[in-house]
Parts: sequence; structure tokens; C-alpha cells
Amino acid sequence: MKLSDVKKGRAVKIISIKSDLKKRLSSFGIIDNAKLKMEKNQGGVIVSLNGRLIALSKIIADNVEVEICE
Amino acid sequence: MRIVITGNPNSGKTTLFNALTKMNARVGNWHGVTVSVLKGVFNHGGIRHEVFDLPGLSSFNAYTMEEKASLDFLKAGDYDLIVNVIEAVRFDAALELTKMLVTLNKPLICVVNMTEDLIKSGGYLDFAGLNKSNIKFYRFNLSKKKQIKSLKELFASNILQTAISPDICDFQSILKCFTAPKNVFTKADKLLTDKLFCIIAFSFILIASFYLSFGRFGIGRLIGDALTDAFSVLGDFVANSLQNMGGSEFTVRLLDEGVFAGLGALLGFLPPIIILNFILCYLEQSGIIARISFVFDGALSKFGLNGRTIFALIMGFGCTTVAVSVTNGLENKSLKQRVIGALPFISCSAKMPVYLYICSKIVDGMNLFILLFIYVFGIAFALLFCFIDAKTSKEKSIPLILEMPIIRLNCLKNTLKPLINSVKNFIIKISTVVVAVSVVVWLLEAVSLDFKYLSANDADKSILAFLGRSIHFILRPIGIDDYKVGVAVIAGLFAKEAVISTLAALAVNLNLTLQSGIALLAFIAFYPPCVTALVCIKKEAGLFRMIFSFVFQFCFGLLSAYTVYLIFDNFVTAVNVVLLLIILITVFKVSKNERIFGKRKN
Repeated sequence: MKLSDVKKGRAVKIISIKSDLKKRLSSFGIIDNAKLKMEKNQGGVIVSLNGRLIALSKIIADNVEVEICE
Repeated sequence: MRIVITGNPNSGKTTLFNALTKMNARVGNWHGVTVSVLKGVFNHGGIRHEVFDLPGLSSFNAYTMEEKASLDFLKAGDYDLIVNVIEAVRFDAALELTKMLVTLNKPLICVVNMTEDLIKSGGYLDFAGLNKSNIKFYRFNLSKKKQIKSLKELFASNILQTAISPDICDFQSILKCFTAPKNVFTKADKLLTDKLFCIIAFSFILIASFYLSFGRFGIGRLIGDALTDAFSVLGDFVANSLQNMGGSEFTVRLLDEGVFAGLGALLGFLPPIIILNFILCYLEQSGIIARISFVFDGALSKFGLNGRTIFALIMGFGCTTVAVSVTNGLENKSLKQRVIGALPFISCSAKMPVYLYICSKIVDGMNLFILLFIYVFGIAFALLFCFIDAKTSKEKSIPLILEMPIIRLNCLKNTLKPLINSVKNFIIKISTVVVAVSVVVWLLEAVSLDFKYLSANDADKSILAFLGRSIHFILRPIGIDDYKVGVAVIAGLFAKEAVISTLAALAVNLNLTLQSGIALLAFIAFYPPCVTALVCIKKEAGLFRMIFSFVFQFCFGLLSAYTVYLIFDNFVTAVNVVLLLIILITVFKVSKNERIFGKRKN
């Protein structure tokens, strides 16, 4: 599922990132297999990653595929 | 010895730089504060050390202009020691950069900063474990000056160390020493990122800050007016003294009406600038601005902008010069150019008295509606400009990716330093231009075409009057016959407040019809910004953008004025055309929907 479809409070693992975003997102630690938690989703999203908060536009969140972690 | 300070954005590099070199480079709680390589010097043990503060770097995949500047400097290798400043909360992200710094084959030490924030948020960093690694990690609180001496000794002792080979670095073990904080999305974050709350709170902050700065009984305006009056009195005193001592009329008037008038106008400007800058600095230092950027990002992205641009746009309502300087932190050149291009459409606060003055000459009781129209159309045109620029640009729009700094509401101490620096820069850089311009305007008004000095009563023979007459033909189509209005318009290019002072000084009896007045308002709303804003545009976006802004805005202002005049002149026709357009668009949309629904049924 897309990161933009994840509900608030859910923990997810990144499966794939669109190729032209990989380089940019990697500098924020958002890479394949990274584990995130969705903190806010109102179009744009805020995720927490290893104690850091990262805000992403909806366009970016639409191009990141994730799976829900149990 | 040459020491380079690098690290992730907002890790404390510039704080360290300022502490070592005793300089006052700007520190912010916002990515993109340091935008160029800063150089300083400190002495220790009789040896002079050069220090270079680089813009924040997340990794060697440089994306922004500033990251590229950092990377180029690092790869050039013209230094003896790398100091990697790490914000403890972001230890894992900083480690990615550290891995890459090790490959540069230079001595490297890592200074871990703000460990208190990490502990407060439930995280932990095992320094005992870190000390077992080949890379040297040192724990410091860079905001405490007592630790700076130890840092100098540390740097001096490490300069002669050999570089660490990346092959012997066990980054997995280093990462295990870090326990990330949990529950970092605090209640303050939840509140500040809530759309409704953020919009209401932000609107309140803006209205309050603008009122405090520019409102009739706002402290900014009261102090500003008092300073202007005081300087005017001082100017009169100096002029009278000089006259009594036998000074020439030219010198006396140059000082009084040129230099002191210019300085007085600048001082009147200063308190509102200080208040706006204070609020901006506080929102930046506290981390609130990052949350605001997130909330507004969705709406702005439709116009080729992103959340980071919100502040520059909003600051345009206060002062175009401040707004242009705020674009400094935007990560992309085309985005920066877009915002700078849009800012002249937004009416700055200096235009408000001009609007009110002209409104008072044309109609009673409708000021609010007229002003509302001007501001609404200004915003609409600014957004339309951005939309068109984004659609025609070869570069793709930059969506928002933003690492949110920790909220630090008790950051008044950190707010004051950058505030003092920005005000100092404003006084030094802008004041010289404003005073020079004031002197030039006075000279144009006091000197005839054959360069003879004119008394105050002969101002209509001056170069300024000639220029006013030269451009007066452009105002005739909107029913303005008095050439002195042209003179005031030219004076307004130097400072918008000068429009009123020039009209008053030239004793212009401004008799305007409703349509001429509205047309003149449209022209002033959209013609080029003042010269200080243009100078700032040149500094931020280059000479071409400055010239483009001037020419484009001048033509747009004229076009708006003529269009408004024609609409008023043919009001019934204009209303019919608009109604016809609405009907045509409605019919088109209904028929399009019928075709779509028709296809779906089939």
C-alpha cells in the first residue's frame, strides 16, 4: 500500500521507493526496509523514524510503497 | 591549521563556529540558515587556526545548492581536520554522513551536541561503547562557553592525527550504542500540525505582528514615528546651526532634506522591521515554522510552491525587502526565483498609507472594500504568477521533505542574537542605499536641467519635475492631468511612503474621479517595489531578475490601471462580458459532464 494511505499510529516498513525519489529520501534515512511510524496524515504526512520527525508532501507519500508491521 | 566544521543541518555547527571565532554568524532552528561557507579564525597555543563553517549536509548525495557547496569544499580537501557536529537525537542519520566523511582520508572527530534533548525524549547514547570505536566521539554542550576552551585544545591535539581508514570502522557497533527516543510526536506537535488550529493561530500571530508593527496604535509605528520626528527636529537643528555659521543654502538643504530626511525615514521603518524580525526569528528558533510549513504545503503545492515558501509570501505583506531576504533559505533556485517574482504583487505595508490617502481623495466610507479588493487581487495575481511559472518551468516543482526540529519554546536567548545580527545587517546594508537614494531624489528636485541649484519654490524646473512630465503621458489615459502625480510615482520607486510626502511637498491638489483614483490605486499596487527591495532582489536572485521585476511590474501596473479605467468607463459592457463568460463556462461544464455521464451509462 502507499504511504499516503496509512492511518495515523500505524508502524510500517518500506518496501519500495520511486527511483527518482530514492536519492533525496535516502539523505533523511528513508530507504528500503526502514521502519517508520505514521504520526499524522492529512494529505501530507509526518512520520517518525528512529526518534526523528519527517514531514513529507502527499506527492512523495504517494510514491512510497509500504507494508504494515504487526 | 585549517579546520572544517560539517554535519547534518541544524546540528550546532554555526554555534560551534561562533564560539570558536567569536563571530556572530546566524544560527537558526530551521534548515537552510547557513547558505554559504563561512570563514573565521581563532588562536590557541600561539598558533592561528582557520575555521570553515559549512552549510548543513545530510549525505554526499547533495541536493540543494548549499549542500553542493559543502560537498565541493569537502572534496577539494584543502583542510587539516574535519569536525563532524552531531545532534544526539539524530545520531543514526548523522552516522550516514560520518561513513562518507571517513572516506575523505582526513583526520576526523565527531562532536556530539544536545545530548540533554536526547535524554529528555527518552533516548540514550552509550559513550563508553562509542569510545571503543576507531572514530573519536566527544560529548559537548556547544551552547556552554566554558567548554569551548576544551574544544580548542581538542582540535589542536587532533589536527596531527592520521586519518582513519573506512575499512576498520565498525559502524554497526557504533549504531548499537544509540537508543532512539520514543514518542517524539508530542502534544505540542499534534496541536501545531492540526490544520484548523494552525491556521487560526498563525492568522492571529500575523494579524497581531502586523498590527504591532504597522498598526495605528502599534508600538512599531508609534516608536517609528517618534524616531522620524526626533530626527526631523535634529535635522532642523543642524540646518539652523549650519545656517547661523554661514553655511550655504545648498549644504543646509542637502543635510536637512536629503541626509536627515532619508535617515529619519529609515528610522521610522526600523521598529516595525525589528518587531517582524523578532517574531520571525522566534518562530524559526522555536521550531514552529516547520510545523506551519507542513500545514500549508498542500495548498501551496497547487501553485508550484511548497510549505517552505509560506513565510516569505506572508512577510511580503509587511515588507518586500524582508520577504525577499527570507527566500535565502529556499533549497531550490527555480523555487526561489518563483517566490521572488511573486512578491511584488503582494502589497507591502508601506503602500497602505498611500492607498488610504488616495481613497480619501476619491470616495468616503469605502476604504475597506477598496483595500480588500487590492489585497485579494494581489494575492490572486501572485499565485497565478507562481502557477504559470511552475507550468512553464523546465524544472519540476519541489515537494516538501522536511525534518522537523525539536520544539523549543523557551528560546528567547537564541532569538535575540540572530535578531540583533539581522537588524545590524539591515542598518548597515540597506540604510546606505536608502540614504543615498534620498540624497539623489533631493538633488534631482533641487537641480535644474542645466545643473543649476534651485530654491524650494522653483522645484517645478527641476530634473525630477522633468522626469515627472516625461512619464506623465502614461498617466493621461487614466484621466490624470497633473504631472506632479508622475513625480510622486517616480519618488515612490525609491520608497513608497515618498508618494504621499512628494504629493504633499509639491502641494498637489489631488482631484480625482472615482475611476481615475481606482486606476491610480491599481497602478501603485502593482508597479515596481521600492529600490531597497530591488537591491535585495539583485542580491538574492541576480541582476537579470531585478531588471525583469522592474520592467514586468511597471508594465503590469500600467496594464492593470488601463484595464480598471476601461472597466469603469464601460461598466455596463464589462458586467455583460463577465456574465456572458460565466454563462459560457457553465454551459461548457454542464455539456462536458453530460458527455462523461453519457459515456458511463453506455
